[in-house]
Amino acid sequence: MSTRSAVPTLPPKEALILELLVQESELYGLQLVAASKGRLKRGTVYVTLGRMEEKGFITSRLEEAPPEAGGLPRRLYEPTAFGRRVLSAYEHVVRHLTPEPAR
Amino acid sequence: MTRPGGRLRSWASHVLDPSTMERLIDPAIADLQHEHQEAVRRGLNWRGRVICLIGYGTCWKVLTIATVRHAVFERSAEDDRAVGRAIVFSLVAVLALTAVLVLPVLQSTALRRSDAGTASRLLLYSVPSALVVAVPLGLVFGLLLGLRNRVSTPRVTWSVAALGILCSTAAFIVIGWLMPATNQAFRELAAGRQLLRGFNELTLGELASGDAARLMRVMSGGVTVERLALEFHFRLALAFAPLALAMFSLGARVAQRRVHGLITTVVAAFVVCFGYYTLLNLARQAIYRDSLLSAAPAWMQWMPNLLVVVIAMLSFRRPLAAEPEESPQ
Repeated sequence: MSTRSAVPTLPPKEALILELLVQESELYGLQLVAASKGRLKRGTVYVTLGRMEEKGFITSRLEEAPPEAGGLPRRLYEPTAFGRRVLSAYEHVVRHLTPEPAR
Repeated sequence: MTRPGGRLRSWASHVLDPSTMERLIDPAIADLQHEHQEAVRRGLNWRGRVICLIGYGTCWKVLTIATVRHAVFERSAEDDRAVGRAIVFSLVAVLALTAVLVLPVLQSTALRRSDAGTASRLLLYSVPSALVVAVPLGLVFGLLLGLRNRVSTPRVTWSVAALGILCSTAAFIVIGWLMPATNQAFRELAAGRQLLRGFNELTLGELASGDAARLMRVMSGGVTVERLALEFHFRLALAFAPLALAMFSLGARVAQRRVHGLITTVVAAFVVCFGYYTLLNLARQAIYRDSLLSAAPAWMQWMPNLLVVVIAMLSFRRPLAAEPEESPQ
């Protein structure tokens, strides 16, 4: 986990990934892209996931594929307790600080 | 059957460390392979091909981002951020050398007599000519200083090679097209009238055409097919100087037997740069002075580059046991 900053930062893309993972529990990179409905791109999702793993927001494991499947095993991502807390705090801040539309 | 992404993965494993491979590249390739396999299993061969195409694009993008991040930002315990240091030092050296080379223009009569707008345009036009010399020299200084007392790893070698190729590509564009245009613009702006062009004001395309009869009409004279060929190869050899000198600097680092001080490294960089350009100019002058122009093959202009690359290759053949045992200062 990064030790540069005491307060974790959560950019919008990372917040979206955390939201999707909290909803679905465990997803592959491409499943995240599909579930985001175009908000996440194939080319950057793996880099973002790698960074989130470094920050400790998510954790990953290799799928247990049958031996006849062949190819590389896919990587499944799930949120950590810390990631869930950060998302919850982020949503709280967004709810309370987003200005209401003018009447 | 070969699975998509296998060769790309093998190539990437030479550049990136296992942790980056595991976190970034393998997940992208695994998803590509599974998506492709699923399409083929369902008999959707065309869809499989499209998936491959998109998947390769994705993998290359991930690989590019990972390589840049890995080379520039991440601290490797093994090479102690050697590549990042080399890039930063090279940039600083190129900027400093460009400033030094542009300095005489600031003192020129044409600039002093001009208004602010014209003076700034004159300065701007002189930058490409300065870059032609500043980029290869700055790269030598940056690499020798950045890699000083650092361990040579495959990552360092690949990154320096990529840096050399990048600088040579940029130099090719500057030397081939940008510099001739800005040179002519500078001359005409300074003179205040239209001027006939010299050899330095011809683009690589015009030099390659060898059309002496047509070029006679726009040039100040002395145009022959042999001279055009000679200038073409000289310019091309100059564009490849950053790559040749980058390989040389890397070779010098590999062959280094002990830890060197800062002054020794700076002096070595000066000697390398001075030696290279002296060689380049000697080869050029010898051809003109001895009237070898018609007899000398134009590719002789490549001799300094070839010599530098051969020395670099010989340096690479030295055993890795020559790595310094002392820790970086």
